[in-house]
Amino acid sequence: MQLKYSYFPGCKISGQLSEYGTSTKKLMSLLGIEWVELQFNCCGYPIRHQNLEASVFSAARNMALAERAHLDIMTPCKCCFGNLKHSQHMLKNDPALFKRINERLKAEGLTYSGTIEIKHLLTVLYHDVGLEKIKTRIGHPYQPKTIVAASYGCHALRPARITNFDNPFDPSIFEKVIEVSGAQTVLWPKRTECCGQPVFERNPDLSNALLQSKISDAIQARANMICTACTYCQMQYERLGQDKLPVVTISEFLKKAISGQ
Amino acid sequence: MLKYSFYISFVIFIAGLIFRMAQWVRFDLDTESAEQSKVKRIFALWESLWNHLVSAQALLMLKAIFWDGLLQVRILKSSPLRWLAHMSIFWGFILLLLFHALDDQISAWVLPDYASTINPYMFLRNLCGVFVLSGIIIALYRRRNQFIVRQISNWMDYTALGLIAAIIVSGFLVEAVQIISENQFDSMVSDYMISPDESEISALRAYWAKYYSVSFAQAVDTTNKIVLETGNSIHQDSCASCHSRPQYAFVSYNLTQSIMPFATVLNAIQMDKILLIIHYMLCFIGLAWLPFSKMFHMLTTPLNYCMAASSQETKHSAATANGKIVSLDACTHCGVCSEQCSVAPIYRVTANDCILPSEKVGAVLSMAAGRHPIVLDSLFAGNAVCTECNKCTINCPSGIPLLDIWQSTKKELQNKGWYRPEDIIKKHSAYEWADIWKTQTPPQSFPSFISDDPQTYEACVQCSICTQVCPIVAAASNSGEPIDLTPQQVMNLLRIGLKDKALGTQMVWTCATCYMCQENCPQHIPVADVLYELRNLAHAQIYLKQTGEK
Repeated sequence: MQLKYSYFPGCKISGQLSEYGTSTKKLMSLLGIEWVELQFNCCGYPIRHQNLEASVFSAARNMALAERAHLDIMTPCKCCFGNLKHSQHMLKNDPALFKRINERLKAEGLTYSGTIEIKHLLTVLYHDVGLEKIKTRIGHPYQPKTIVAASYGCHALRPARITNFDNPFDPSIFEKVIEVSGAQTVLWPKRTECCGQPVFERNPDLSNALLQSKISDAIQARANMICTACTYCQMQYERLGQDKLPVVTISEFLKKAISGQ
Repeated sequence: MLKYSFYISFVIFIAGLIFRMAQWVRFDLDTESAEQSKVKRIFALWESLWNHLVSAQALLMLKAIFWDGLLQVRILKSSPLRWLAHMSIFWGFILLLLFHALDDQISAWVLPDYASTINPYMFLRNLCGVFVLSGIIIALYRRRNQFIVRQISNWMDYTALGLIAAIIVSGFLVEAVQIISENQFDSMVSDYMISPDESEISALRAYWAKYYSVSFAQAVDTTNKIVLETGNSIHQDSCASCHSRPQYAFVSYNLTQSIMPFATVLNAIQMDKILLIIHYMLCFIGLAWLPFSKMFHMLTTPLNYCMAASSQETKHSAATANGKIVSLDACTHCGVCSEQCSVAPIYRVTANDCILPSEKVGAVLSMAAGRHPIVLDSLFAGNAVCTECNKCTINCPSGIPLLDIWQSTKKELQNKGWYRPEDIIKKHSAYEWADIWKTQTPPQSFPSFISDDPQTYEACVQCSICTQVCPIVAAASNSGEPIDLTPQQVMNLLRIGLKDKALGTQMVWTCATCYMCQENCPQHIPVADVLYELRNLAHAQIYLKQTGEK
C-alpha cells in the first residue's frame, strides 16, 4: 500500500531549522513515502502557555485541513505532534469546546470531526514503513562503533495516555529505528528527560543546566553521538551543546545510512 | 481653473514626497537607529539613493526593476491571481498615464501621426481602461473572498481601488458624451474645416449624425442619400485623416448607445465639459493623495527591490536605519503575509489584530515615529505570539525583511519598557502577587476547568513523587537557587483553596511542561495540566492594572 501523508513541518523548520525539513523530505523520498504540503498554520504549542482555546483552535484548523485532504498528518517535530494529539484529545472529550471550535472553523468553510490520525516521523518509520523495509534500503550501514544516544523528547512520550507514542517509562522505538542502520544504541537514564528548550526564553541558565545534564549523562553512557527526532530538541542541542557531542536529527542520520550522503 | 487645480495638486504631491522621505530619516525603528545623528542620516539617504538608483550597480538595479518591477515576478510567485490583478492595473494605468494623460509630452513625439481620435489609439485607450477595471474587479473579489484578507482590508485599500476605478470610469463617460456632443462637433468644424458654408456643414452634420453618433438638437435628415454622399466627401477631405469611427472606442461607444435617449439633455447641460472636469479632478486628487496613501508604494517598492538587490554591504548604520523605514513604506497592505501567517488563527481567538504582519507594519511605523499610543500594547502582545516561521518574509511581494523587523521590534519594545510576563512575574513573590490581584478588577469570567474542580486533587496524598521527578526542581536546587514552591506544594495550595497564591509561583512560570510529574503520579493527578491552566490564568491577569492605577 502506498504511504501518503500531509507533511506538517511546523514553524521552526520553515523559520530556523530548514535542514531538518530538507533531510526529512529526502528520507521520505528514499523510503517511497508520498506527502503533500497543505497551507498549515502553527500547531498551537507555543500559545498553549497563554491561551488554551487559541492553541486548540490552531491545532484544529490544521487537522481540519488534513481531513479535507483525507490524509493523516505526519510531523517530524515532537512538540507539534504532542500538541496536535493533546488538542485532538480535548476536542474528543469536551463537546462544548468541540462546538465552539467548529463554529470558528465554519467561518472559513472548514470542519473538524476527528477522523484523521496524527503521526510522528518515528511512528511512521516504525509502524507504517516497518523496520524490515528500512533495513533493505540501508546501503551504507554505520560501523557498530557508532554509539548513539537517542534523545526522546517529552511531548511525544507524555502524557502517554494521550500521545500513545510508546511506553513512557521504557520507550524503545527510537533505538530500534536507529539500530536498523547498523549503529549501536545506549540506554542512558536521562533519555526521556526534558532538553530545556521550553524554558530557554524564560530562564536561559536553567535551560542550559537541563541540557548539560543530559549531555553528560549521554557521555557517561559512552555514546559518541546524540540523535534527536524533534525540531525544538535539535535547536537546543545545536545552540548549547554542539561542542561536546555531535547531534544529528533522525532524518539526517537515516538518510546517510541509506544514500551514503 | 484646471490649470490651477493641477498646480495645487502637484505642489501637494511634491510636499508629500518630501514629507514621506523626511520620515525615512526622522523615524527610528530601534535604539541603534536613534543613536545615529540626523545629519548623518540625511547624507546616508542621499548616498544610498545615489548608490542604488544611479551609479555603480546599475546593471543589478536594472535586473531588479525589470523582473520585480515590470514583470512583478515576486507577486506571481506569491499568487498568480494577485499577479493578474496587479499586472492589469499597473500596466493599464501606466500606459494610460504615459500615452494618454501625457500625450502632448510623450505620444505626440514618439508615436507616428498621433491623434487621440484615431485608431489604433482610440481602441488601445479603451483596452487599457478595460484592463485596469478588470484588475480592480479581481482585486476586489480577492479582498472580499480570502478569509483573512477580508478582515484586514480597510478604507484605504478600498479608497485606492475606488479612486482608480473612478478615474477610468469617468474617462469612459467623458468619451461617451463627447461622441454625442454637438458642441464638440461645432468646435471641430470651426477648427478644422477650411472655409465652411452652411450647406456643406449640414451635409456633414447628416453624415456625422448617421455614422459618428453625434446627436443634434435640431433633427437631421439622415436618409437623403445625396446629402450623405456630399457629407462623405467633405468628411474625407477635412475629418477622416484624424478621426476614426467611434466604434473603435468600444467601451465608450457602447455607453453612447445606452445614453442616446438622454442625448439632448446631456448636450444642453454640456455634460461633456462637466465630466471632463470631474475626470481631471479625480486625477489631481489621486496625484495629491499618492504620497500620503498606500499608493506611495509605486515609488518605495521599486526602491526596496533595488536595496535588496544591492550586493553592497551597507557601510553605515545610518543607511541601515533609513533602509528599515523605507522597507516598511514599501508595504502595499496586500495582506499576503497575513494570509500566510502561521499564527493567524490565534488572532481569530484573541482578536488582537497586531498579531497579523500586515497590521503590525502600521503599528511598528507609529512606534518608529516615537508615538506611544495604546496600539503599542497590542503590538507588544501580538508580536510576542510570532513563532518566527519566516513565511511572511518569504512571501512578501514587496521584499520587506519582515522577520528582521519583528525581532528588532521585540527588543525595542523591551527597551521602551514593555516587559514580558515572565519578567514581570519575577518582580513580586507569589504571596505579593496574590495581594495585588486581590485589589484588581477581576478579569471577565475566564474558563477554568480543572484547577477549580476539588475532585482534581482529592486523591493527592502529598507523596512528593511529582517533586522528585521534576527536572526543573532538580536543576534549580543544583544551581543554588531552589524553586520557591515545588509541584507538590502548589497542588497542596490548590487543595486547600488558595489558588490566588499559586498563580504567581515560580513553579507555574518555569514549568518545562515535560509531563514527568503527571506521568509518574501514582494517584493520576493531572499536575502538568493544572500548571498549564494556572499559567493561562496568570497570563490573563498579569497586565491588569491595580485598581486606581492608570
